[in-house]
Amino acid sequence: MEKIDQLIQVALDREEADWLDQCRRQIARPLKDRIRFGFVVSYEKANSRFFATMQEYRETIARERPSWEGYGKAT
Amino acid sequence: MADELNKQGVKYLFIGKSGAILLGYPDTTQHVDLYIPKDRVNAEKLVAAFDQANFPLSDEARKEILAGKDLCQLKDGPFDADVITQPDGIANFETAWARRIQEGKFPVANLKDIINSKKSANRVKDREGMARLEAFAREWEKSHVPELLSAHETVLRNSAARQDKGE
Repeated sequence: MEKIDQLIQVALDREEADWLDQCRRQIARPLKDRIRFGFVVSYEKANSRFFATMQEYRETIARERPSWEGYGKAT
Repeated sequence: MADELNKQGVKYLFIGKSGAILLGYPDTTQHVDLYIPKDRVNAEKLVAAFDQANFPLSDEARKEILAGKDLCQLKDGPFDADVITQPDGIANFETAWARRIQEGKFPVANLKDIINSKKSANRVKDREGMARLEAFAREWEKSHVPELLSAHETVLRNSAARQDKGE
């Protein structure tokens, strides 16, 4: 069991190190590349919508979007 | 678009994931979040900038932006844009503006404000990505340490800046 815990920790450390490397590389890239890689066009057909309050927006999202999309409040 | 926003003198900030991406956060998004103050004159300038940039706005969108709705989700343009006047977790626009990060031509909310906003919204998706965003913020700060200047150098720089402004 101890061995498994150690292996898990190694994997987690590795994952964190990989993420930080990725952050450093992206920070070092020129702004135009960050825009090119970071912004993608949405082909979702949707209408513009307007909310008088953020509360109204949250209630609408909670009603309309499936929970797995993660727009709901964390409990 | 950014050129037109700047030309019209619009006060705005990129916030949310789109702001973080401009600063180098390695992720993708399908829309931009623009934080503007609840200010009729500024909203008029924003609408004028959209017009000049050929970003189509319906009559309804125009009306609601000018009315200062908390959130306008614009889906009819070349890219999706959320125009927000009351983001979660940010006290007011002026405070966020004062500590903004200028990334090229884009004014971006400070990463601390972006993080606070997501924490305050407390959505499941925000909570899942929070550790990664905070790790990114620490990495960003490490690579943007303010230049250390002596008192003499500071005085010289301030003096040169005042001269440039014609003061």
